Amino acid sequence: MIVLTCARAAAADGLDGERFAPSVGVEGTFAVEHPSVAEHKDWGIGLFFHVASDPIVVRDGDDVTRRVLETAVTAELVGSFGLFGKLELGFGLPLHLVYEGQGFAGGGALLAPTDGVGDLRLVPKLALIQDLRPKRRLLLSIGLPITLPTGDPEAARGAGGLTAMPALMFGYHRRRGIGFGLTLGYKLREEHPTDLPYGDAVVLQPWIAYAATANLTLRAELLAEKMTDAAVEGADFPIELVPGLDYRIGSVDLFAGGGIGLSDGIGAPAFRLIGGIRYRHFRNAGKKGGPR
Amino acid sequence: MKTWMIALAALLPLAAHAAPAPPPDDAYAAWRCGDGSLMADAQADDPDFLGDLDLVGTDTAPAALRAGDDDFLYLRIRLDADPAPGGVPNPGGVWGVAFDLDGDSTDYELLIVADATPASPVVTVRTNRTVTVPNSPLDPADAPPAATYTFRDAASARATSTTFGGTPDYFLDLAIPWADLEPLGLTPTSSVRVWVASSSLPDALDGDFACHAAGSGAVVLDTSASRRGDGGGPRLEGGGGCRATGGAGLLAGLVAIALAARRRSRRSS
Repeated sequence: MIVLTCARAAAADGLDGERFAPSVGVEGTFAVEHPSVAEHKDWGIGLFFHVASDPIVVRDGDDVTRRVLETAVTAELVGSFGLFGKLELGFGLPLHLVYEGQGFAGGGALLAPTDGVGDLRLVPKLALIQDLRPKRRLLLSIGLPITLPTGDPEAARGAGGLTAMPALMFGYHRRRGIGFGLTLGYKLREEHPTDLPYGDAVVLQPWIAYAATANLTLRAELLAEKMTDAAVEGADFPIELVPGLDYRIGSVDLFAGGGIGLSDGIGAPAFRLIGGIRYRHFRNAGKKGGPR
Repeated sequence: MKTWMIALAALLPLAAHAAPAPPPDDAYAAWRCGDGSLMADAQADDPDFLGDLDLVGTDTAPAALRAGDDDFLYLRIRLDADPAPGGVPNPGGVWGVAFDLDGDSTDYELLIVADATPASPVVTVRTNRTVTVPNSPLDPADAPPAATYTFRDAASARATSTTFGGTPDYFLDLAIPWADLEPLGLTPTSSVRVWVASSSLPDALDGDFACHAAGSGAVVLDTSASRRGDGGGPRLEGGGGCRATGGAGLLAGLVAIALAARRRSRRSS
């Protein structure tokens, strides 16, 4: 009986129901990785809390009949370190403090949310273009965020295997004005659950920023991911809009925002609340300058 | 007398359930072929199965769809001609869907067909517990059927807006109670692969298959199976989307805060 139970558990499919992952770089964004990289030996560290409502449900027509993952309260530690002015290495480690819902079992899929650690992220980023002028900044970088399977997919907090996302990151800022950018990537997932709409995906993340004052910036980020080869058709196009504010006090950025699931893709919540803080240590503050 | 009693007993399952209330067209979701495209089939691709036995469809007007509610699974097949003029199916016609429930697409476990081969047309649900013809849709399903309904109670046909081949196309709709399917392993959240086809046999599919070009040879189950999909009922999703509420106010509030802060900053400077 023990053998049978273990075999069944190992064979079940799961996924990571938490799609929001705070950016790890020193530049202040919510979740879209900014193309800027830290100067040599500059570093940053941050802590984000976010609360998501209904990232995964069972819906029958317009009615939610089962709240598979009803509430997810997550603390995520992020940090990054600059090397040679061109390279930045970052990490993100999510800890799901409250992760609960009614769960789901169907076919070979099992989602039984429990509190615990999620998948560890490592984010190397290389600057290709850093055109920094007093009145504008033009930035282009490539990155390869990867996640390690430290979370449990059957608890809906892990991809079940390695993931890697080659990505091109673009950003443009004007002094005291609008900034905008785009991250375009392709997420490769080692595990493709046979009974869940979860697989490799095209990732599209446009963002805009508006410097309302010298300290206050309004941001809006769109987090979209379209599965390309999920084994199961279905809710495979999660889109979430993340608007929020970033208030800078010296080397510290304070973040407050929210998230709105624009599609019914798995992981796109009914709503999300976000709070965060980043500290940035610049050995030579102001060297990079330019508008925020 | 005994024959009548057996016939009545076979038709009892439907009497035990509420009458089906077919959902609106936009509640139907198309099945997908194995390559991910919506289930399609060229008009007149199989010369042996034309007219009402000819499945038709494209990626904008799929050949086979499904929907579900609390009580029924609804199956829909697009055909090149009316399969049941006046509500009476054309004699000899069979249309159905075979389901892979166990993840092994070299065989199927359940077959649902509208069967007009008997004098009194029926809709049947059959299991397929014994594989006698591997990896072939000709593998006969089990006898007797696990459930049988009168055609009038469980099937209907109506014209659609498409006209492949220049003539009006028709939907053949089937409605099967979940209560009869769930004991057989098909539930609203089952992850399934399907084969959709017409047939000349009441217990197997041998006609015009969706996702299969008739000129490309015999149908092989594992290369012509659909992409996995749910059974047609409730499905796993995110909680977002246009049916979620409460997000717009958050966005408006943030914009208001930013504008107020900018105005205050300008005054102070």
